[in-house]
Amino acid sequence: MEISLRNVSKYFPSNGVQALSGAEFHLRAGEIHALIGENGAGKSTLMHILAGHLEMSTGELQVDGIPRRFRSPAEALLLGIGMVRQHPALVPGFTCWEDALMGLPGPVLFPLDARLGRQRFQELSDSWGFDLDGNARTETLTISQRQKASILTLLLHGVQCVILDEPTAVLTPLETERLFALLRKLRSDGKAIVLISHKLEETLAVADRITVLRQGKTVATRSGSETGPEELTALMFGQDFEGIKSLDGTGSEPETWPLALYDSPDEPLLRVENLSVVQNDLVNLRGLSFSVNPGEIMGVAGVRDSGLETLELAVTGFIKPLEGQISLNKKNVGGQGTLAFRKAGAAYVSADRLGRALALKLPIIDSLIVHSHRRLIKNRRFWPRFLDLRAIHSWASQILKTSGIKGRLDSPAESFSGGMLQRLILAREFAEGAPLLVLAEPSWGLDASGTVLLREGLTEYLKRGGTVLLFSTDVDELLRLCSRIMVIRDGRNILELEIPPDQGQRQTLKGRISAAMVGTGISIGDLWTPESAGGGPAAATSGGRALDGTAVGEGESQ
Amino acid sequence: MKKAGKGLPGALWGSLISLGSGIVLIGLLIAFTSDNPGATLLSFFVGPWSSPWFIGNTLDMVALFLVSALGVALAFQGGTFNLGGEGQIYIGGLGATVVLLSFSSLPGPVSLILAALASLSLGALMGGLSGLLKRFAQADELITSFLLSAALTPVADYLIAGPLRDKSGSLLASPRFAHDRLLPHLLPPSSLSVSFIWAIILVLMAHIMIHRTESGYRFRIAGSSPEFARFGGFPAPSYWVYAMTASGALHGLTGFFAVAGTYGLCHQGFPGGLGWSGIAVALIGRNEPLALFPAALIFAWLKAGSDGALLASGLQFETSAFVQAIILLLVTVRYIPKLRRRP
Repeated sequence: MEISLRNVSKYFPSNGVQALSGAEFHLRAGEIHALIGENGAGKSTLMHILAGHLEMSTGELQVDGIPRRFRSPAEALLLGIGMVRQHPALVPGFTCWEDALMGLPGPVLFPLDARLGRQRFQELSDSWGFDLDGNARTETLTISQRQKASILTLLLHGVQCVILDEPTAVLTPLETERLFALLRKLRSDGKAIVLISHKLEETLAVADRITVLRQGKTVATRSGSETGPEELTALMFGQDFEGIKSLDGTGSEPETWPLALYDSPDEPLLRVENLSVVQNDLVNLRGLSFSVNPGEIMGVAGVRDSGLETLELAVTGFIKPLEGQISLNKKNVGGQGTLAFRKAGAAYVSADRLGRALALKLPIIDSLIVHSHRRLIKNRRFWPRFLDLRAIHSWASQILKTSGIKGRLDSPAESFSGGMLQRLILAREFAEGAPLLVLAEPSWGLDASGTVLLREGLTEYLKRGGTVLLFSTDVDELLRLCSRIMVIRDGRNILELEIPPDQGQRQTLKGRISAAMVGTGISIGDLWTPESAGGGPAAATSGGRALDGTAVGEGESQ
Repeated sequence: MKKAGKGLPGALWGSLISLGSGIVLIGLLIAFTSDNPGATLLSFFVGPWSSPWFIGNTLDMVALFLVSALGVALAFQGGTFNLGGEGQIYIGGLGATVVLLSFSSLPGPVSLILAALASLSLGALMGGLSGLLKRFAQADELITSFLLSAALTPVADYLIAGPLRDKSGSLLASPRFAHDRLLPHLLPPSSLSVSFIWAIILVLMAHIMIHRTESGYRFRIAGSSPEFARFGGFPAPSYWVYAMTASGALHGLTGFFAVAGTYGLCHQGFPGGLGWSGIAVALIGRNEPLALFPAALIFAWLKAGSDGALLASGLQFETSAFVQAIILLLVTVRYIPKLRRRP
């Protein structure tokens, strides 16, 4: 099986994202081909196109030299191409073999031969050494067993090409090792395997060839034995600094971004101590500590599945921590919910804007007054409390005005474009004037005027003495804005750096931060020592000093 | 994404299209099935307004539709779907009947108020139970409310045919209520009673609650986008319980209005599809309280018209039922997919 994707582009009209522009990918039988890149580089989009989940906007797909276009996963499966998603969805209530047999071509309307089906499943499972019980119910399987079951399903369908979407992100090291052993076995059987990942270490360990995507384009394809982590990091994140400038539109942009105060007061505004979170479907946090001082922009960096999202949700009160303290303005807000966090003095722009930060079906005014409606009330003494409609109207119009959008307050939120909604959400949260602003991925989906609004809003906000906690997967963005950066990986605090005010000097830190995010050259086991775990607030507030383990790791990698 | 940037006008158009096509279908049906299409059409569309008696009956139907549709609309606004209206009306009316038939020493108005409260709380209990099940056991309120209502309907049937039955009459019904225990009638001898005024007041109150108050604002947000409600600091699940409770209470009250206002007694199966009609009216009015006025008016008109045509000019019974079903189908087909999209 030979697969080649040429000059593929994909545009999502619904949110205006150009996910791919001119991506190339070539796959041969009998190889493990890793596809790596930053978040949003287009890895998953490209593979979803190959597996028939998405249709490409333009481009060419050839399977064994014949041009193809898949309109559904079933068509791809017929040609022997199948994908295992990161969280494989099996049918609850089915047993493994029933789930695996689903969709197999066979006589319709004939009763399923349970004995034969089970036997086929079990034989295949045993012959590959999957260690799966065909009679087990799908909902009792662990995540690694689910992955195996999905791979087995594909094998039952006779696929020649297996695509795995970040399979190791949810696996323990031992499970990862077993999965890789299995992949090598499949390779020796002549199957073509695509491994989507952003963990360089393990990618290098298993892949024959590696293709790097950046901003929707294929940057390079390297043979696994001829490349190293340094080169791949450089390819993934791009070492030409033009990229940063082009993002902002003009060359001299970085200077105009606001800079945080640099005096270090003795009392932190937000203090997180020894935070542990265990939650299904999220990366767990283990003993994370840090603090945010008044007037600074504290950045938290991490790749997807590093625990970044978990931390964002735990700090803002969406999920309850297992243990640990979160205090804001000396008030304990850990596990008290979103309202307690806000009342203690915080505003929050979440990464998931359309789902969490808006009511899409309702008029936009309803989304704009979600915080202010508590203040703009006529009577407080008796129920029902009447809203002060006039004040609410002028408040919402003001937000509309500051975000530079001409629209009617009673139009439903979904009639605005994605970029407009972003600006409205930013304006809404800035208008709160809270001492702490939590920003998650602020530039996601932001258009040029939104960027201007963000910059002006931040400048104004910092002038008034505001503090920002910034969660981002984008190193350039963090370096442009932050006065301090913390890197988390696998739910742990890996690195903490004070960032110099000078933009030129800032860029020199990029490599170090990127390396810490993807874990180049060092494994967690080496890094994690009880001393660094116990560092706690002392280590966190001292800043500027990398945690010991990282320094060692850096040394090793060079 | 870029569609329907108009809000109410869009809703209005949708409703008008479904109603318009329904009316055209009715016209066609009558034209083809009736011996005397002209007279039938006349009695269909003009009949409901042809005399004070007819007007009174039609308006009384409007009142019942308004209250039960308001119950459905409130449930929708709060992000739930109350499918148990029929049973809630039945049980509410039954509770009112029990109160109105006992405590003979109490003055009439007091027993009427007690009966109203009894029907309110019985309906609220049934709706609220579904709400609680949704909140704490993740049970789909659509199913629990329907099953609860379906399970209690035979119980009510039995009570009316057994212990509550008026042994002197041949009907499967309770005895007539005493004269001072009926809601004052507005256009005697028609069945129009003060329930019509109450229905209007209730709809206006609901409109103000939903659009002018803090609780109403949160209620709408929680109903439309639970994740956003959580972000704003008012978790949606408790609002689901309020929504179902309010919805059940209004349905219970519809039962009270039906027995104490319209019928003056409680006969077996008195709701007769009132709960389902309430859903249709709420759908036509897009769950906006104020839009329920025209929706209830038009729906009652069509229903009274088809009933009237049945009597006046020999429109067959099946045809009249068919016509009502068509309207229900047309409004449902348009809107159900939207409703089911909620998380």
